[in-house]
Amino acid sequence: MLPPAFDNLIKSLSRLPGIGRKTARRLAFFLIDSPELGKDIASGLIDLPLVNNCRICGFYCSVDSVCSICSNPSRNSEILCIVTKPQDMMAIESSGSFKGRYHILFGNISPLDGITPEDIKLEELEKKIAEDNIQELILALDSTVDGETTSQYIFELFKDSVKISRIAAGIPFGGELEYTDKITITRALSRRTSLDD
Amino acid sequence: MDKVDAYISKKVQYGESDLILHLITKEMGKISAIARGARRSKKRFEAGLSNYILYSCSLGHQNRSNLFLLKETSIVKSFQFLLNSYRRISTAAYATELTALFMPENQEEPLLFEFLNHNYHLLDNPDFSPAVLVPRIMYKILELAGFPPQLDRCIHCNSLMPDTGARWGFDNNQGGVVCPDCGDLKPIVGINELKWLVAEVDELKNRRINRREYNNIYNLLSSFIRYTTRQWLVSEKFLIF
Ligand SMILES: [Zn+2]
Ligand SMILES: [Zn+2]
Repeated sequence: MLPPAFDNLIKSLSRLPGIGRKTARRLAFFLIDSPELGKDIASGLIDLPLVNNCRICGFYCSVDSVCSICSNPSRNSEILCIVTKPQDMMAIESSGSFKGRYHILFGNISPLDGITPEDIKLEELEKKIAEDNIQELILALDSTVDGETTSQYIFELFKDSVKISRIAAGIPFGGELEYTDKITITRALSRRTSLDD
Repeated sequence: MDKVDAYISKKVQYGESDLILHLITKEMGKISAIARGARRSKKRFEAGLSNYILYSCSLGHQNRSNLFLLKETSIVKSFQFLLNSYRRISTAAYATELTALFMPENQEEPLLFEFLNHNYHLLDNPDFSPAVLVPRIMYKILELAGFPPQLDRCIHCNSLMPDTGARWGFDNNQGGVVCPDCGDLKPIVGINELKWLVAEVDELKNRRINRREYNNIYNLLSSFIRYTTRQWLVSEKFLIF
């Protein structure tokens, strides 16, 4: 009943995460009625190939190949914060509490999913540690078993060549102890800190 | 509603917020269950449905589906020391995947489950090195699953493996060692390797296994498992020490 171009748009939209067939239809009808928005989205999509990965940290940047953080001379290049994915780096950046640089692994090691150390960006990290003057690695990986597996692997690999720390694990700010799971409580206790630090 | 104790052997994302889990249970063998909203709600599923944790799971049945509905989980036992070591985690992953391979579906197999559970406890104990546990894990799971390789005497002539340290070859097809008189196979295992397979737990305490013995047993048993099951385990490559 619908023209093929319209039908194809619905099909494409419904492949996006969280968008079912019904929502895709609704969006398609909306776009037909808002041609200006449609054009903006289309040109944004056409420009997508111009988005590149920073050759130093892996974050997204334009084709000139170094992102705004890696090219900023006021960032401390001796401290590297290791994160799993670009969104994690953005989360830390938005907190404004870190002034070093980043390295994105693009994944976690997971034996039960067959994701090996070779499948994530560890070789690049090894090269940085060997060639650049890195003094400290801060592991800011997910608080999941795969994040933990990856942290342990990195620690065992580089413990003799660089100082390694990791972000604290514990009760989230605003969280109530009563509703916290057993593992979080165990970790919060075993990694407790002194109040006069 | 059923309550089972289980380890998660595999997690698959399903749609936006659901997870499909493969569970190794004590009461029902291997089952699959869907955890609706698991990626949004942390309340019903303690510790976010992680591998390497023993959970108590509340299950429901779904109409016209052999997929159980996972309603709620709580931690029975977590293994903090295990999670502090890459080797221990890799060994736990392999033991879990190997158990899942041999565990029958929807059918109680308490000995296999108990052996897995027992190894989680050993891997959480600093007195046991993970490499020392691997040969015993592989051998015992094969034995419990009904595929024990014959390693102490020749599969053809039944002569006993000598305690001289001489190594014999292994025939995957026959599932046993072959003495030099009965066949010209590449020598792999001798009495020194065998002792790691059949050792009592206490004998493995604070022991170290040398790389050659480890590799000999590991290569023999992993190729026998592949030959017997025609399956390749994804966690296998993590055990090459
Ligand atoms: Zn960068
Ligand atoms: Zn013989």
